Amino acid sequence: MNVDISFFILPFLLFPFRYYLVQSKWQSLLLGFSLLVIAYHSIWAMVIAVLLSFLVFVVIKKFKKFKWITLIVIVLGFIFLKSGLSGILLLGYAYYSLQLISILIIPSKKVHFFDILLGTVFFPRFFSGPILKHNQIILTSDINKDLKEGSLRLVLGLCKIFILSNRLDFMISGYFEHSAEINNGLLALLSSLLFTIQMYLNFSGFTDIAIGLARVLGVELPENFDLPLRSKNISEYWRKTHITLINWFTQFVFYPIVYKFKSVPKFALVLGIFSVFILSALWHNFQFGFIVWGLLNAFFIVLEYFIKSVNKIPRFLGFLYVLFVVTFSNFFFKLGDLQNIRQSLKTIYQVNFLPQNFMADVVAILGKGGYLEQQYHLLETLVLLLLFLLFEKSINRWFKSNNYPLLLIFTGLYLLFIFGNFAQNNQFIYLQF
Amino acid sequence: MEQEILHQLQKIFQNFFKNESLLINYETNSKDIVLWDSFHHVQLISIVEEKFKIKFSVFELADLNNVGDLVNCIQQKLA
Repeated sequence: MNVDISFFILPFLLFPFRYYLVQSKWQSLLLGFSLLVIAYHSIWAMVIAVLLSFLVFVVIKKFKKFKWITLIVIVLGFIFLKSGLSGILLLGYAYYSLQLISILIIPSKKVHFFDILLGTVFFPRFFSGPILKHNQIILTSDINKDLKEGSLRLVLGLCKIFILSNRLDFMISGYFEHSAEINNGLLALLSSLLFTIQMYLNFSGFTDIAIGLARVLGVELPENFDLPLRSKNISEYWRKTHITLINWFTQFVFYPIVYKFKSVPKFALVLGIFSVFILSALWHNFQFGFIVWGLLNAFFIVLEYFIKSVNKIPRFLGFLYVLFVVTFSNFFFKLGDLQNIRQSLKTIYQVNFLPQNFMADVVAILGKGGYLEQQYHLLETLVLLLLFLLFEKSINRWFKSNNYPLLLIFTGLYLLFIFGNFAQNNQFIYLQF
Repeated sequence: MEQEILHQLQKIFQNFFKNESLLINYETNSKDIVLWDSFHHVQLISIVEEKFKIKFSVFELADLNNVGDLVNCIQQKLA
């Protein structure tokens, strides 16, 4: 799916109506507009989202005894789509299905179809989350503040994706598209590391865009990331990454399991954590690589619970530990299917770790492709990346504050114009889930 | 009644986290207490259930975001 420029521009055309419409009519406009945006990309996605929302509404309102059957229907729909049997990629299903399941299990006291539908189809969050708690839309009230802060957040997201993530995509494709042909293990390691960073920037960037657009339109979305690459252990990393997904699995998988087996706490802990990560892996995709990714993350979190000294290592070592574990698990995440993984591991096993010629066997491969053919562009990308990661906390603070919003917006747009890479493929990684 | 519930929770928290000097208020949440993660949250709530002789639905646990939420929930269940 290509998300074209209208996705970002049209909400601003809607914005003036906020001043003139009462809240109920404004929400109706948001709902109508969201349905149009989704239908523009996929009519089927819009139809299924509306039908499923209606089904859940009817069950909650009139047929409560069918809620568990409805839940099973939603899960079967999910399995059907993920297994590839449908041949149709139903946009957003993986995200809004979790929201609908949550309100089936814990319905609120007053249930309106309009509220359920708006929570499901609200377009900034429809395609890649964040996942709303209890499918609830939270409205804001300060129109001018919303425009400033929403725009800032949107520009930050655009910069993360088009300046950094897209450039990194060229670099990592040099290895991952030809993983059977490398002659050194260092390239595999560096490519996995860069993929880890690229995936974070891409997904958190899209989350920034979603939060920014929603804010402009008067809706507050929950945060999905909290500087996870600065974590000092894997448990902390997963408290700060894809927060809304992990919170959902914590509420509906981890808590029930640990509560059920509370008389055997160690067993409950291990079962709970492995269940969360295996289900989370399957939520992403039904491929061997994702399950290995899930198992690895679960293993290290459990290890940290039982070996407390892991949490006492110096911060810098912790940072390296997290980077290593996450990079290692993301290697399997990226490769996905068993054959790819087998071939890549076989190749890595056969070659030396260090390259014979660093420039030809590592730099040239990473720099390969379109915009980054020259080493200068590779260096430029790495410098931009390093600057961003070192100052990310401060950058986030500037772009979330109200100080000098116009200056920041224009600076961001200027940097986007100078350094941005607007290739069409692989724009938003988490759209595929 | 809220104050009484908070006072009792104070003792429960101090015993559970093995910190006699731990002080909690209505805004205290898991970010304020290092060991208060998801796993310990379930164990803590189990102890609260025993002490107050109430029962939480397992799906309510995620909505207890701070001590204030816990106090309100206990108050409702005792009423």
